[in-house]
Amino acid sequence: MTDPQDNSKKVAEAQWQPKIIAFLCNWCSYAGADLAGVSRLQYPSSVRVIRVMCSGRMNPSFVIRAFQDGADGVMVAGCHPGDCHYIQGNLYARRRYALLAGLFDFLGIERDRFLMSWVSASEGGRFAQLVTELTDRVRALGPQTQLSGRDHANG
Amino acid sequence: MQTDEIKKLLADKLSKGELRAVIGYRRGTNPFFRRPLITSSAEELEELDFSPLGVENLSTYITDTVRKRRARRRDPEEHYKPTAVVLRGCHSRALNVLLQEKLIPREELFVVGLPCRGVADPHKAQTLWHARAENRDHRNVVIDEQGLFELRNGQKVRLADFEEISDECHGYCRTPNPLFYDVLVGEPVAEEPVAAESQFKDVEEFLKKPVEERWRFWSEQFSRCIRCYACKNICPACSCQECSLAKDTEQPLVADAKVRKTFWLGKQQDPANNAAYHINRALHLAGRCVSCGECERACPVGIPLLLLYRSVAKQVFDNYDYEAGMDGEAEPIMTRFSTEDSEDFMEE
Repeated sequence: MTDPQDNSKKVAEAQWQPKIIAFLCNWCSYAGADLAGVSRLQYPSSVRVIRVMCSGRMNPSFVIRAFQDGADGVMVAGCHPGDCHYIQGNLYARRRYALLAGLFDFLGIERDRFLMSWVSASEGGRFAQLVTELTDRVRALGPQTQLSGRDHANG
Repeated sequence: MQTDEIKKLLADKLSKGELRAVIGYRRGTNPFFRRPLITSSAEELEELDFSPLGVENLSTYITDTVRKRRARRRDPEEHYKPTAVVLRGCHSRALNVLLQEKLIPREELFVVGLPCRGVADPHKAQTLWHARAENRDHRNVVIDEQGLFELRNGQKVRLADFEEISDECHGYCRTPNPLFYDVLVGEPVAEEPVAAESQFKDVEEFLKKPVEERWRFWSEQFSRCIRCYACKNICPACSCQECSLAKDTEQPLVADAKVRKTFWLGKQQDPANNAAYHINRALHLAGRCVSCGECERACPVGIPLLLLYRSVAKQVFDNYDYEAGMDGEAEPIMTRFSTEDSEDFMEE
């Protein structure tokens, strides 16, 4: 006979949906996500979008905080170089996140949970594709426990 | 200049009123340790000591001195007089970082450069002394750039070579000589410093481990952290008056109680919050940490902090060809960018 508790655990695991936080810049990437919606493109509902004014507004501690609060994946997207509404905000961001990604790698934190990319206002399809890709990657890794410090598979 | 000449010069300047204060090293409570000497009296300068046991990065104390002076708006003119400070090579790099960030005016400093053939590790010296000395009387301890000696009937007897008691920093030291100084103690070190390409051997060695093992190592290290903030307090680069990572009171950004929680990490000492603290601190030190090793010496639980910060320094060097504090005029690396910066870490 199967243990009912064990069974419910299995069900919980099967129903587990990754939580993905996407920080999108107001001028390009958020409009790109909007276009994906308006064009009725399919992408996983695991993503929660947070709009920031510029990718250069993003402090790397936002990403760490998101992981701490239980995010399983974090995505940062901004305008392509040269397209930034504030001329150069995304270029500062590029430096910061290169170091963060390298540091994750050095510490052994699962690097695949973090994604940074450029998404323009016309790239709705690209946004949908990136979210799908990140969700697949995170689903393969399972719940994030390294920085959240709690077992949140149940909640 | 020789040490007694330097002492005489500084004492002269102090008594003439050309210097505000002198920051150097003095003997600690036992012969293995040195502690900072901060004085404005010419008599106390007799205690000034230039032994290889003086490891503290004295540039840490300058930011505070200058900041306090600036806070008192109507200040007597004498407070603008230069402060003399004893600096080794890596310490002068730390000072360069502060100069780059316009925290200290160069004209308020009188730099006594101290060429460095490697510093001694007081703990190693103490252990060896207790293992090898015939008579453990502390009055007989002699430590200089030749090694550890015991005085027996007025004769120096060698107990250990300098290599045995020296700190590991000579393995990656890029600046045995101070980068700038007003007077130099003794002769500059003639040996070639470690080449830029081979300075990160320790980080490269660590990166050979598999990813899972790396996290096992660091999560164990972080779980021991007691968040005493000694690493932050001793760090010359950590010069913020209020640290965003170590706030101890909740200060709401707006009057609404719902948005009181404005921290970027919790104060709890759990492995997750500790890891967040160390990741944030490592990023704040990008292009600013000069590997002086003060954090590691200050850490009461022995976390290998230098390895962590040097991994970021390695990234900065590999990606942006930049070494912290080599040029006091250069713009800090994280406040500028290049259109050619690498995008290898990004999604196509």
